[in-house]
Amino acid sequence: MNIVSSPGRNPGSLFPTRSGLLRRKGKAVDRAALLFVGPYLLLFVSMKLAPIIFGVYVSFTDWSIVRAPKWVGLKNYLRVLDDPWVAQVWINTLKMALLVVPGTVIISMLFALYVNRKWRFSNMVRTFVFAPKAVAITVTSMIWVWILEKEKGILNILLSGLGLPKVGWLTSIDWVIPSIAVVTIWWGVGYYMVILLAGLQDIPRELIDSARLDGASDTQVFWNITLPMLRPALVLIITLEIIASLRIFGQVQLMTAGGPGGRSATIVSYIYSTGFQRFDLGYAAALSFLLFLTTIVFSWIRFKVYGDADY
Amino acid sequence: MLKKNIALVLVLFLVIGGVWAQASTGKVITLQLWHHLTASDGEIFNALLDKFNATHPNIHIDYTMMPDEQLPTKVAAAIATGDPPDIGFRMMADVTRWYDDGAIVPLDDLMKTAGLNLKDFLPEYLAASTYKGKLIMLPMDVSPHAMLINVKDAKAAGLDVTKPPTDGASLLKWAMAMAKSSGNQVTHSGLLLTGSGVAPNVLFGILAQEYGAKRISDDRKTVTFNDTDAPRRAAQWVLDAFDKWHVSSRDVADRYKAFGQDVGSIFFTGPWTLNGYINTSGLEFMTAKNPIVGDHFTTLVDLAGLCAFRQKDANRTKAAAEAIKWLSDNSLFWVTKGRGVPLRQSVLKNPEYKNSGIPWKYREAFSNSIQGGFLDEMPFPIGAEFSYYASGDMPVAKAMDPVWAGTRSIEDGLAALENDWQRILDRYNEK
Repeated sequence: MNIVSSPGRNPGSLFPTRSGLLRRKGKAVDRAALLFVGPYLLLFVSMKLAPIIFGVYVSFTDWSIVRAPKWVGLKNYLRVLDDPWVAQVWINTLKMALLVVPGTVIISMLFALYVNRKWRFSNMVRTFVFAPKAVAITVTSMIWVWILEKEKGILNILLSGLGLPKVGWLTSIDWVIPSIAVVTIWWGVGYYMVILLAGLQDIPRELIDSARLDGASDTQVFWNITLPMLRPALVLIITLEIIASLRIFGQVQLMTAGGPGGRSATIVSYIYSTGFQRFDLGYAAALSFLLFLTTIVFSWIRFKVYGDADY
Repeated sequence: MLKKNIALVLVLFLVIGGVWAQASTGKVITLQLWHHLTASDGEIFNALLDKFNATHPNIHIDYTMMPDEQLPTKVAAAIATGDPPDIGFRMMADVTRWYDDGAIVPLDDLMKTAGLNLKDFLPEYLAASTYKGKLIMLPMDVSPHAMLINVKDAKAAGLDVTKPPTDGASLLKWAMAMAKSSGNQVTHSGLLLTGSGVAPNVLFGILAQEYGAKRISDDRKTVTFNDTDAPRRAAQWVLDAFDKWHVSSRDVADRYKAFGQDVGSIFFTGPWTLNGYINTSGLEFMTAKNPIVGDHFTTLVDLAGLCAFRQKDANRTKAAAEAIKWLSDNSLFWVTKGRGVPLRQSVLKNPEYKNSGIPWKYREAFSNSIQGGFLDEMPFPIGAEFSYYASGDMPVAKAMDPVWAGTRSIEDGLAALENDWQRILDRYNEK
């Protein structure tokens, strides 16, 4: 018997069926349910929905916080075409995302597979891989600034010991984006490993056992059972990581402040400086809305490639 | 009856006591002061505020220090909600913006009423604190850039530390003598720069101004920066330091740390670094005025001061004026133990100015650099956009950082800078 079903639709529900119900367009609505979701709805509307709507409105205004917003129509959006820095920060961000998204997904998958096998040290690996996520990105960034410093950073000292040349990881135009991407991957892998690990542990053991009885190798099991069964989790982490990469900010601000030569400046760092250093909130809101559209486009591409996974 | 009388006396006593207590506590006005001074600067400034509190039983300054980049945002939010602080310590460009927002009280009359003699101030810096004909900030100090030189490096290179560089040729000679290279790679900068950001942009700005560049027209409508050859020559000099003379490495990320750890020998910076470097063990350094590389001496200066925010209660404004006057009158403590150079002639002439606080041998170069310096942040609401002290997406950094990185030509960089500045000016004037 299904005892926890939708109230109002199922007369056998544990929830009240007469006094607690309202009728709206012929459908029963539970007052108690409204009471339960009410506080969340209130917070959602006041803290999320209203600011989003206000943000869209601000993008059509000239506003500096102190005075009342002044309607300027599409002017802020047209300014984007006239601002060469916009193209630069969008390109930088997309470059970063192209490294971070596949890097994070592949490495977290490898760690999840290792830990799931319960091989030697797997508990220790799980702890160490997840540990960076427990540290704030500000702390992580400062630690990596020291590690990647050219003359006295530990990485270059190790490279020098191997007879390799020192690299300006955060000061070279060629290396700055890959370096920040590596730090971002290092920081994020543990979290996604846990999601994938949960997905791996949900795969029915019988499926794998029967495949093995039929003579499937490890590789065949991975490609034909594990990967398809992990699809919902993979789609989830790809989606989350695309969104996170497009919003990358903290590590860039702390490690390079957008340098060298603006080669690591990102969309959000530009939005931040436009809105909160120049107080050009209308333009910053327009840029934010364009970032939102970019996220939608990438999510749509993700949808087209992977379809609607059930996550 | 007796009980009634005693009760009456007690009630009267309580009422009178309460009124008296109310009256006494009502006399203490608590002012909010927000400043952006951190590290040793913050400690010294807070100590000055503590001295004020100790000597003023009727006014208490409740001070809040916050990071430089956060203060304007928090002030803007406070103004918007109608609850600004009473006093702010800040640079002029921000103060002009707050003034345009109607949040700042002009100080001319307030200071006269408080008994402050404005003629005691250096006139050029008082003028720089005036906007739309009103004195809106009382300057507390000016921080010029000067040279810090690692003495050990200079001696090791056989240089005479009693005769620091005074012109472009001697600067180059010193930088070359102290630089170390491995192949084409500079491993120790004779002249400390970073590959992008503040260090190369500040040097570029100082040199451009020395060669005669002017950023914008007096009416603030037109960018005039590229009207002469000065910016191109300045940019070429900076590029040559990296690529031709090999005296500077692009691979330095943190200039402050680099000088402290002897990664570079000559460092152009402001007096806010002195306390930190004096206390850095193993670092022996001296200071000197910027050499004249271009046609005349100049240096980049930062002007900071106190402003009073508009309050509903006139008594608070009066108390704020009294506090601002006291802080200015007692600024000797700040400019000798803290940072910067005083702007009051009485402080400059005070014998204690040279004999107290940070040793004079370190402060002298900075003190001697204020005449002829140029204001980095121009004193109008978008003045910070024209700053050479630029990193991230500030216009000078956006345009010139790729030039320092070698991915854009000087001509393209200067054209991009002029376009960006003109666009910013046009938008400002359009409003």
